[in-house]
Amino acid sequence: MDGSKRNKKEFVDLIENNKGIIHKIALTYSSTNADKEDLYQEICLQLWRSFSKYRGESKISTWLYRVAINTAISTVRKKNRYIETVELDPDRHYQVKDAEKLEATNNLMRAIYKLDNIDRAIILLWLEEKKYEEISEIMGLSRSAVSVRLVRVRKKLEEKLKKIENE
Amino acid sequence: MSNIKNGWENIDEFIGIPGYGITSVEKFIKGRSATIYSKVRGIFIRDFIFKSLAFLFIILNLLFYVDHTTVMVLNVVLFALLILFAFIEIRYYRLFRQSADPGKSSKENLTSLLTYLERKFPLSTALRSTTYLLTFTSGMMFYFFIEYGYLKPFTAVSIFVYSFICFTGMLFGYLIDMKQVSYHIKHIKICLSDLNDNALAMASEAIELKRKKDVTVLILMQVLILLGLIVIVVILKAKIT
Repeated sequence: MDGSKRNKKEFVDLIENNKGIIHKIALTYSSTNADKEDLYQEICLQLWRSFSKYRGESKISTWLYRVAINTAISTVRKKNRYIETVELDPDRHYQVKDAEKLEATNNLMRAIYKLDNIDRAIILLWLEEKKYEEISEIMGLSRSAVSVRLVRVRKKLEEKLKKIENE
Repeated sequence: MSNIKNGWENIDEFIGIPGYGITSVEKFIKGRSATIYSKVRGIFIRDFIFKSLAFLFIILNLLFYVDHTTVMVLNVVLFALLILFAFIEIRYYRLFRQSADPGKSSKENLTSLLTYLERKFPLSTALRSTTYLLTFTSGMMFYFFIEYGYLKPFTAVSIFVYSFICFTGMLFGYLIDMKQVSYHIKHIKICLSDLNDNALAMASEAIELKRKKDVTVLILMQVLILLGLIVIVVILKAKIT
């Protein structure tokens, strides 16, 4: 197997194993299904472009989050679109049996959309159970900056969530 | 806070990631790999704490026993050993972290964890067992200074008791860690065989390839540790009695 073929296989495996992460980032930065799909494709493209430059200096997941979040933020900035609600796929049979749970996730996403781009990334990484060190590595912030900002963002998110739930 | 976390719990189903639907078996396996990672990490962290304690004792001994050349030499030897073992330990810890990269799939994660625990862990455990020797010896010297203001002369009986405590402590430390990890190894093997793949066969092959080499290194390391203990005892006996 030559280098490019092996690279391609490794990359396909990487995307396959981490598509959950990419989809979550795409959802956090776009609400309509078409936008989500576009962003997913854009993230995959950027990952492929920078894959050959990955030198293993950080964990592969850290690198992947960093590239995906930067791509998502720059794409959203270009479009400069304000997101208010989440568009659910009408053709999809949602597996969440409990309507309350579906509503809780919907409300959370609506609250997340009200945050700015950086805060959204920080809260996404926190929800994905990333440690402060890893969040700081992905976001290029100091550990203390992440810690301070996270407290503020969580408080802000809770307030927005409460407001949405009371609507 | 719990509202936020609750909302995120169903995010996979909410987005309807195509083909992503994680089965409960995979979820369980992913969970197991995370638990095993944190347990093994705990072993490393505990050792780093004890190493820090030994470091503190050695520094204090170097300050307190400034007029006692032999004790100073002994502490310098302990310090050199501590730095050397800490350096190797950090290297092993890095290898361990690389083997459990959460960016990998559950299968890859468990396979590399299994390879690490089977191949590298026995050697790193043997190294870790020396922490007991370093902490106990430096702690003992520190205690003697606080209690008596000097290191009490060693008799034949006290050398025997000291050697017995050191040897038993190291042996127990080694056996306890190995026993805990052997349970995790068993569990990983069950999980890998449940994934119905060639993962277990591949991991076993990788382990077997290097096993003989590892056993030789392990024996050499154990001989070195024993020699280190004998040297400390000889120094204590020759100079302090």
